[in-house]
Amino acid sequence: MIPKVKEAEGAVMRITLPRDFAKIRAVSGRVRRFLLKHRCSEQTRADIELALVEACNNAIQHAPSEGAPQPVIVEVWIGRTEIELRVIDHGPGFSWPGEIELPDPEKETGRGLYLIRRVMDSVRYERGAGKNALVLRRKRRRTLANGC
Amino acid sequence: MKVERVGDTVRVSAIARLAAADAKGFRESVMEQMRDGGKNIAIDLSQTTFIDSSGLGALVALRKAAIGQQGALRLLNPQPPVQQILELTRLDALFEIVNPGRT
Repeated sequence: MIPKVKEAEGAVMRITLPRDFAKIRAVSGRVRRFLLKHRCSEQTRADIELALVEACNNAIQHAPSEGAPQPVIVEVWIGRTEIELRVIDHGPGFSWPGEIELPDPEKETGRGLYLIRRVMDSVRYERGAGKNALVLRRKRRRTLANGC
Repeated sequence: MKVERVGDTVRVSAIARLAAADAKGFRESVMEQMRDGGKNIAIDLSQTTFIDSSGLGALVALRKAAIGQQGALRLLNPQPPVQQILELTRLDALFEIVNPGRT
């Protein structure tokens, strides 16, 4: 069981994303407006959008092709100093690589997880029976030392 | 998005986003013009506000296609959000990036 984010301590948004790449844009737009409403900076909004889009791409890509299509659940929690993103899918999941390196520059794929790791402060992948959650956290104010 | 061929250069402009939902169509319409006699590719990123790993993958593939025709791919005027992602993935070193407006 994946614990729910604590609503009492901040603002929470929960969105259901159908398994369709074309629907990601509307979800990321809603999350951006939610972040703006809670006075997150332009850099924070850009970083969260990138991590969210990459996490949704991943969840849709790894969804099982058989059986009834299960949507992806996106949860955003905005606290006083931190933001947490949860992207939950009901597929078989994938093994999270121990080290995430950039691929050869000529390669067309393999940059998604790297980008997530670079723009967020912590990344956790909880793989469960029939349910997986990618839990991403980022401080509202990041210093240059964090890499951005 | 606008794709046109001027001589042997395929020019792409008015690209709002280059994410997973857009990348395939983007790549296919440029490849179609390449098959019709294109050699170089010029991608105007001045209106592009967002790019993800799929969009980056499409750019890498198109660069390969241009080189395969003894041509080149140029990225024109990427705005800060896109430039930042090119730098994060170190693809700013792979692509020829042209900013005519800046000195």
